[in-house]
Amino acid sequence: MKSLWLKCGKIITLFVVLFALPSAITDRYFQHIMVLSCIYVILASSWNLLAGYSGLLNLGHAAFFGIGAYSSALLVIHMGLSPWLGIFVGAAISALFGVGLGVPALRLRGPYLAIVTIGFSEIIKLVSMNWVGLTRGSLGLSEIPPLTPIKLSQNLKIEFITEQNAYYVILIFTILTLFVIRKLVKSEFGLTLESMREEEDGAESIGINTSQYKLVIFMISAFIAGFAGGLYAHYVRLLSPETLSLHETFTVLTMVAVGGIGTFVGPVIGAVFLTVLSEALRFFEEAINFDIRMVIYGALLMVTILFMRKGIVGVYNSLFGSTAEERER
Amino acid sequence: MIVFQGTHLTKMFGGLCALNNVSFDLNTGEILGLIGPNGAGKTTLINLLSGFMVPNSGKVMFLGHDVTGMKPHMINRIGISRTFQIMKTFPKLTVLDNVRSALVNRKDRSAFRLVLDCFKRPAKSQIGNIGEEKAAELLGLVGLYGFRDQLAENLPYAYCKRLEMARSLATKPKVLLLDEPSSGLNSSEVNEQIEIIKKIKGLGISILIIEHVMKVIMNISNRIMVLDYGEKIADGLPEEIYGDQRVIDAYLGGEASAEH
Repeated sequence: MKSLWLKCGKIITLFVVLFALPSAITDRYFQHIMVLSCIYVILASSWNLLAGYSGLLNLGHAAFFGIGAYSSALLVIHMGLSPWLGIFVGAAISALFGVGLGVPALRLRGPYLAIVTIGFSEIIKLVSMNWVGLTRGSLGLSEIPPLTPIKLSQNLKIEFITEQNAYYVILIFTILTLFVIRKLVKSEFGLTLESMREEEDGAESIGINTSQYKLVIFMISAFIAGFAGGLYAHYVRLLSPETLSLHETFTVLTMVAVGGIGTFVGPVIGAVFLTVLSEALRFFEEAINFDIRMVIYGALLMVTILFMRKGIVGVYNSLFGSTAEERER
Repeated sequence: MIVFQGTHLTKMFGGLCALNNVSFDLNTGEILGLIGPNGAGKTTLINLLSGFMVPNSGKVMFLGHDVTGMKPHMINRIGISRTFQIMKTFPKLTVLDNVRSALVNRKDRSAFRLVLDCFKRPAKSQIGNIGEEKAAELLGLVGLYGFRDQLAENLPYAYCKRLEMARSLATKPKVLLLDEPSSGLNSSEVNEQIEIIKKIKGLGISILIIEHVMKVIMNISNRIMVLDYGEKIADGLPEEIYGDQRVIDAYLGGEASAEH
């Protein structure tokens, strides 16, 4: 019981800190990085559901992110949908594509699946570049409406144009998403996914309908990624086909690997760490006039794979965790 | 009473006939031993019976229902469980979670249902709350309770074999198909394995067991069936098999098998 209180205390402290952060960090640029971190936390966690928990190496995750972002933005621009609704509709459309990509996943394992997903992602990117009538091609979408203000009373309303307010709303969404993911992975469903990842025939032999679970997890993961895309679209208010590139997928992959693949907190740590790092490198890049970010990502990924298979979380556990029971799953 | 039955099962791999017209019956509460030289088609037979392969012809009947061509997970759900010759435990999960995963009720719940159940208020579906007692009981049966918090990949080989049996039992089978549960074990481990299999029989589960270790097969089988080059060459009581000339020829290479 005592440990439960301690746990609650820790979580409440964490929330208080997170919500107080914009008051401490008032620089708008830093606040912008905080918002981006939140979005990447959602995206990385959704990829972790597939690759980390279910063993389905999806290298087309940026496509789900982009589909969510573009769908929401286009619906809001052309159909006059409220961005609040648009985000969810976009996520649902992304989920549909998730099921579509899940179908080949039923027959393909390991690297073969990875190749198909890369293909999928490239197709979506090419469509977004060449369907100029809809997406304005490589010009991209601009002036995407932000989340509509919430009216509290006659003269008090909350706008979401400032980084600070956007941070609050996106932080809330991030916490909700993480709560949902936490519930999923700590349940029978999560255990089923892990069983499937570990040994597919073994999973079938204990009554797990692996096809069904693969489709469902593809759908859930794509929904969450699309959701992150919607938030991104209405926050940054600019979209280009670059959002759907393989580049993005590998950024997310690096985040999850560095944080700790197959763990709940790993992607969160990795996403924050790499978002901050990449912004820090931006100045460095300008100084030396060379795009060094991906080089560093690559090096980080190699170090992780060679020396710390479970990323930062794994290192932490081997230093401080004692038994398997205490280990973060 | 016949609980499980294969009739005229044939399985071809291209031009190679792995199983040719094999029929057998498994009676309730019985242990049927399945032996034969390497490549005789024993594992192929179990793969056909557990849905991992579909026979070219012939039928698999379970309690009077035709279950030929059913998917492996469906075969498991109706009450036929199996273990693997090359073990397929979940290495990165704990011993307890290996068994818990099999205890999850998926018979009348789809994947969607499991997702929805994650958010139910009394968190019955949380990993920590899945069939604690039942898992403890099963791990006790195979003598692995003390290892429950170890990762399966850290278990010695013999314990992995037992873990796989506990995991199969967790799905509450009526028929258990064991594929070489004693291969690669030392003699004291083999004796423990015999005791465990006898205990499983005591639970009223009918067992079909593939085994090369004669000590095991002669000790526990009620009946034995012998395969050679995909054909059934003998079927009977252990004593009968022991003296059967065709069986001796198949194993030691007599005049009959010299023709092959």
